Amino acid sequence: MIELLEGAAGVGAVAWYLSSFYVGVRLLAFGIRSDNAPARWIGTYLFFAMGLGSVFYMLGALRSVVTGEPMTDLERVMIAMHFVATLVANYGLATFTQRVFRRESTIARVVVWLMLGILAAGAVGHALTTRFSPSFESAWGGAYLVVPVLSNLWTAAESLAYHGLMRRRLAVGLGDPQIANRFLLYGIGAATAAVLLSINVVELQIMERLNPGWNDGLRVVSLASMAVLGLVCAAAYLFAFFPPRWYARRLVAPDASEA
Amino acid sequence: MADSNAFTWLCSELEKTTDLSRLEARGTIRIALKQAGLLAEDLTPRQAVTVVQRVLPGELASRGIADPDRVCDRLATGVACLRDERSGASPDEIFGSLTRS
Repeated sequence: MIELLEGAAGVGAVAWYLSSFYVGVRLLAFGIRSDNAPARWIGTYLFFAMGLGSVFYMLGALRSVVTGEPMTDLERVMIAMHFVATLVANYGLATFTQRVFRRESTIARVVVWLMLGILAAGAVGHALTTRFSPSFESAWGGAYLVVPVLSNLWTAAESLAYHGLMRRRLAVGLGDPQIANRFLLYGIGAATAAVLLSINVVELQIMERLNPGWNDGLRVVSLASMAVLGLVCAAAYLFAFFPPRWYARRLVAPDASEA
Repeated sequence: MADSNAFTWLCSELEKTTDLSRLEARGTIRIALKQAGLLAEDLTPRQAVTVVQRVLPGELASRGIADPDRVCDRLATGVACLRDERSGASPDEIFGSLTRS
């Protein structure tokens, strides 16, 4: 049972990483080519968080976790690079959300810098106290893990709320159905990413301390979540920004297709 | 965030052309915008025309305003002539620009 779930979770995780990496690279390239700052921010988030960040983490953590041997200096550097990539990624995500949905809000600007400050402090604190351990069980590690979850939750809430507005616009003949759908899918992508990222927080920071024996049960839940939500998140990001033709055709407004 | 010029103009004109007070006129426009999923700060003249034609007549009728269609026709004609003077792009415009130049 666990082996089957591990395989399914692996598929979900790989789909999530590949989709985010692909969409991130394309958005980043488009943002640079056409001088589109919002595309650069989302592209930066997806490329740095899922692309570079994950690669650096795997390179830094895999050998020592699998073999149980101490980390080498190069592996510690990889974990440090993972921290930098995560910081850059979350700058992209939080900046996009603030500039797009709360562009004149001073509070939102403060929240962005507060989150980045906590993230940086968590990374530095964890690095200094654990010598770049790949397992984020320390309190510093908890601070480091929780910020990406909050960033994604904020993004999901804003995007899904705006999708509600877009639905009402469509009802009176305003707005583009494809753009309305993009808000929905981007919101779903951010919400599922928040859940997937929070699995680490729940496992390492809460359940491990409250009831270590319950970890086996939690592992089933976390593997099943990764299997299902990884695929949902992958599809949401892909269809939001680069939908296949058959999907885009379904969303075209009736009057637009007549024209 | 500052209200758009289309919203400000609509409120002012509705107040002038009906018996509604300033507060009532602004409230009525805000309710119509809410029904259409629009925000006062991001309202464009084009969106304002649609709201005035499709949502506002019902709101004015429910408030006992005489000849709401005539009032709305005048408002739609006037607001259509305004320039879009918003300071930044709205979220839907930004989302629309993410994959096309």
